[in-house]
Amino acid sequence: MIQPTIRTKDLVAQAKDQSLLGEESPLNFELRPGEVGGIYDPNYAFSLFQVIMGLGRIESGHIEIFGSPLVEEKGETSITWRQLIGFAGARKGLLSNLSLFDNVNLPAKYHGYYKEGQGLEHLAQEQLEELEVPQKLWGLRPHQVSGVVIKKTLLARSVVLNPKVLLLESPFEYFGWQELRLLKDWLEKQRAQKRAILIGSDHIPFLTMSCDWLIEAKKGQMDRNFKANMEPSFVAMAELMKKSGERDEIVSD
Amino acid sequence: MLKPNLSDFQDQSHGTQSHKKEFLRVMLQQVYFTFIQAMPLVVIIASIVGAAVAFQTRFTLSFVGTDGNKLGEILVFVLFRELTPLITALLVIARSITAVSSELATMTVQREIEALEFIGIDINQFLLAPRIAAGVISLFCLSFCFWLISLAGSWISINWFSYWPIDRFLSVIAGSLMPSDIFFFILKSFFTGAIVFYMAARTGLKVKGASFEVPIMTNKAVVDALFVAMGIQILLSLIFYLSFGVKI
Repeated sequence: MIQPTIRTKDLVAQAKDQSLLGEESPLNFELRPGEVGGIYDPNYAFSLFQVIMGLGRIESGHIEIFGSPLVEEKGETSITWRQLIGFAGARKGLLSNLSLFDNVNLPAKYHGYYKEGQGLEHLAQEQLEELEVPQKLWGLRPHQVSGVVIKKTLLARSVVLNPKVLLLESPFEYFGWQELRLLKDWLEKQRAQKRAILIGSDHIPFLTMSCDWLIEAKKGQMDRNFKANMEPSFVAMAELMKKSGERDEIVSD
Repeated sequence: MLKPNLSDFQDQSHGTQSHKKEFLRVMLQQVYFTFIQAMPLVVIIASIVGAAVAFQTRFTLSFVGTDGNKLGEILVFVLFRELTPLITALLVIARSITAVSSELATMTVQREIEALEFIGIDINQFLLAPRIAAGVISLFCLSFCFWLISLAGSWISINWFSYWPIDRFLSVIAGSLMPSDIFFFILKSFFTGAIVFYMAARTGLKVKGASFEVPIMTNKAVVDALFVAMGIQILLSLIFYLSFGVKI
């Protein structure tokens, strides 16, 4: 059986921003490689993301990452292990004094991360191209581009260090219906690369379409049968979203 | 801070080397903003201050009827020991402390700091340390340039009334400078630069996330930096005079 990448057991924790995680119900879930977990509450998800990144304090219960419990360490401690986790915020987080390309390239440049035989900038180029960010925009700063381009840049940056875990805050936000296919393909690619993915969003159809299980903040438990208990209209909407972008192929047939 | 014990995690990156490169890049950028961009202002203010001090000194000494050596000593005493470190510190606080503090505060509000932490970038190494190093370098360079320009201003001001050859003027200044003067000049630049930049960065990072906090923290950073800079100047001058006495 595949070991979970992240596992929590009755977790109650305080995140760095002072928000409490699991105060209503302690948090329990297991996220395995190649799996997509959904959290229906972006704020709750962000608190969890902070704890996963080690930015918080455990009140009770425990959380394991890559089979190792997160424990309190005093004083200066290395944070290079965070390279294993990629994060894409909802809309903020790009450095305003850097171009889109430099933003994506920053983690690779800072950590000196590159593939053998390729330049330092190759990974950033690859990710931006994959998310179809037009090359003419690469040199622009975040305030000069649209929300969807910012979103794509955030997603590109999250995978530039080839992480094993992806934490995504409202990834669907800003993506129009026409570009939904691109996001779906990108997520599928991350899943195929055995990345464990956690998505925090309040977009129920998107979560229904993308996730293998769902957590509701007030319940704190992962639910693999969430589709069965869900309002049928949401499931129908998720099905529609799944099919979106396939219209071209149908017409051409 | 929470951390997993990942004994089998092997950092595939070439971190240390690239960290140094990034440190250097951010530091040089800050030196450009703090030192190079401040030069026009320093040129204007240093010339005026140098000219005014020399004029007042020359004017006052003319009543006493002392020789030119005293003028050189007073210029070293007033300009080199006291005014140059103090005025450059004030200029840096007005220009760069406000900038650093508000930049970091805005970065916190825009969640850029948080994003850097999530990427595994050490904020102290990436944002604080290069700015502090740049603060020290810039303040020393600015003080040195201020001193040279104020001397030029002094010389022009003195020559307005009577001819004083530049070589004689410089030899009088050089003769009045003691090694302890130079040592304390460096010390003042070092401590003031390091401490005020550290305080500005820390204050900027204290913002919790609301944009209304940005001006409050910037204001606080400037006021704190003013008090600290003046405190350092007074303290080091006091140590200097207690150690070497007042010799004019």
